[in-house]
Amino acid sequence: MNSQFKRGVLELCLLHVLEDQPMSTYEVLALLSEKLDINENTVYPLLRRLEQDALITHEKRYGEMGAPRKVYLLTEKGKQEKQEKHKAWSDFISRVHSVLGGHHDA
Amino acid sequence: MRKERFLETLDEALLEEGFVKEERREIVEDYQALIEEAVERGEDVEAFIRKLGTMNEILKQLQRSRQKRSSSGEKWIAVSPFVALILFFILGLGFDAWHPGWLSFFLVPMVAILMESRGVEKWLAVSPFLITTVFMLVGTYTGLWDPYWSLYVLIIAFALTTSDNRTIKTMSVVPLLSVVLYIVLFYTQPQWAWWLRLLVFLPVLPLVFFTNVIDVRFQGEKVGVWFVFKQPTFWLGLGAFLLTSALYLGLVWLSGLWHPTWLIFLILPVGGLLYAQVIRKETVHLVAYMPFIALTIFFLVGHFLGGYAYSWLAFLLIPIVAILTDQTDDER
Repeated sequence: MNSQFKRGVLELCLLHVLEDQPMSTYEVLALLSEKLDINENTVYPLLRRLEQDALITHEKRYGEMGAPRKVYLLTEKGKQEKQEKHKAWSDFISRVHSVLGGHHDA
Repeated sequence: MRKERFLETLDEALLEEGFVKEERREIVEDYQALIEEAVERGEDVEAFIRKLGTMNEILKQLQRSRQKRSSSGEKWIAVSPFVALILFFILGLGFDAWHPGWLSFFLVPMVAILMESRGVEKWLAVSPFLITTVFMLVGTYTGLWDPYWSLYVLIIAFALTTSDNRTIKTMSVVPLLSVVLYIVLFYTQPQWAWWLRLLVFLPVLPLVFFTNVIDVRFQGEKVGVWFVFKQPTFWLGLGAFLLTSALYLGLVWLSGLWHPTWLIFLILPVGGLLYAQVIRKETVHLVAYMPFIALTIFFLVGHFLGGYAYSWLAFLLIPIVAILTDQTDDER
């Protein structure tokens, strides 16, 4: 699969999982690598970029033991971006299905 | 690879790739937390580090993530060549100051550095341009090239301020005082031999080894030559610098022209770009070479043909090439 396309999808998935709950890099990595065929080295740089773009932010989560952990969560801008990307993706997939003769209509 | 070794290699590789201290610290801390959490959750540390990919792959991804600039920064960077050009034009046509009006072109790299870099290191990166501007202005209008060349020693002071170590940071006052003392002695003790005045810089020499430019370890902490010496690029750079200096002195001896023979030193940054492009297979846009080519044409035409009023047009090469080679980078 085209790497840029994959990266775009990964970005959407990342925004999606962080909308549900704040997660650490490890948790995001574990979740996404289990469900998607991704390179593990792409997740952390992508988190950095999304944070630079103010789509996500981070806070410290204090556990029962060990050092506080950095967890990422969506910002308002990130939520809006996720909605737009999600809509664009659904629209795109629907069109692809219609081309491939699937059950979705454009 | 063990965690400590991985983090140390990552830090060294990030420095080699030009990441500033603040970015390096943040990235290394994040990777450390990532590995620790993986271990807490039962993963084997070495297997997990292997899963993260090779160091080259990690760096490539991190570089890609930092290439994206803020849109306001991009606008300033994009507009700076035109501001520099207009300023150059005003100084040249209005005040017949083609020289040193060309200094306005320093705005281009300075704006890019200030917009793209973070932390105190941006002031270190911008300091050679600021100092050259002051030095050229003072030298041109007063003829006092000496003692004001000593301002370049201030670059060491800027470098020391980037250290994490408080003692080393405080030592940045030593180069500053040396420069002040050198200038004061120039005016108050004109009968002194030039080499005697130079002695004021002796305390600065050992401090060079505590800058982040050339890295050493101090009290077990990495403070700036130690591992750079391990890098083949350091020796390559040092060899190229010594060869270029020898070539420069040879050409000056033959021609008697200090200026514009100094342009030979532009081989060094151009060689660095070629090295990155050809040997390390990195992407180097054609536009990156243009400031050096433009500067060479500007001085050669200006100096030998007496055409500074026209040779500035060479700087138009920078935006023209940028526009002509602009393409959507689908890797971003």
